[in-house]
Amino acid sequence: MAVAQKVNATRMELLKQKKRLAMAKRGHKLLKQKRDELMHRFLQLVEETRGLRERVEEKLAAGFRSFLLARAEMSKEVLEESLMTGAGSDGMLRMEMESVMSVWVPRFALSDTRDIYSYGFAATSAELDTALTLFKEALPEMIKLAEIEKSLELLAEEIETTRRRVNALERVLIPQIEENIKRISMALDEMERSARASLMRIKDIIRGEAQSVAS
Amino acid sequence: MSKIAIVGKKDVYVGFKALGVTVRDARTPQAAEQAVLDLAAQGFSIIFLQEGLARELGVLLERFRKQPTPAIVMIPDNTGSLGIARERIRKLVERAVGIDILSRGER
Repeated sequence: MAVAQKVNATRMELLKQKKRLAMAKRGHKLLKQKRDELMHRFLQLVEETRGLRERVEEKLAAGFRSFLLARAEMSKEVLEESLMTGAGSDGMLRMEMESVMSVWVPRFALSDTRDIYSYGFAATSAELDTALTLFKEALPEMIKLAEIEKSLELLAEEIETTRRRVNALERVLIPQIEENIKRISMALDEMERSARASLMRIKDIIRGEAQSVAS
Repeated sequence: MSKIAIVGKKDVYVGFKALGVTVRDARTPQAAEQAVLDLAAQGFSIIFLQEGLARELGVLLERFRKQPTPAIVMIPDNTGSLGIARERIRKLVERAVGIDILSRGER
């Protein structure tokens, strides 16, 4: 049971506590809805990431295999020379932030599909082309995976804090306020009864005196 | 400006170098940690990390978990998937859903 704080037993205080209770209940309801919706989105993304990761891992495995073959066919120097010509990744990726239930998550998009075969064809093998094509196909999906996994991380965090708030309202604040209201109304009732009792007593005394004067 | 980087051993990154992805060579978890910190400081928004190196880097990954960027994504190396990435997602789901299922039972 929540321990109620010391509150003054006055009508003012009672009104205040009642207002607080209404507010806490409203907040509780809203936060609960937020938590449920976050959870819904979260589970959707979990579903999405499962298939996506499988596809990415398959593609990468195939790419690595082709690459191994390419390496077997070509001399090490030629292979490295062919691949190391790629420039930096500036301008390849575009990022935007998007709000999912007021959680800001990044959205990525590849903005540049550069010519990946930046080497001569004479000294390189077909397997290298295959490997690079596989990697190139895998990249957009890998980026999508990055986006979804990051969203999952951020949403999981938000779900946790929202759930804590819901629980705090539900198990601490709301019972506490209800306890306060109960105490105040009990104290007020008691004061009213005692006031009435003393009034009746006074009335009796006055009546008794009046009768003794009259007789 | 958003950038992509890949951290791992040569077999893993060399194919992506040609695609214009920034690469960082790392053979040990320590080297990978340094590379990731370095890349994050430079504002890379996606960092692909070889799965085998990430095994001991839980603390590092935790540090970037709450930030919108960089997104650190584990990729398998040429020996195949180790399931670490899947395990991470499973843990996230447990954190988000698992505790809630328990608290629903209490009510």
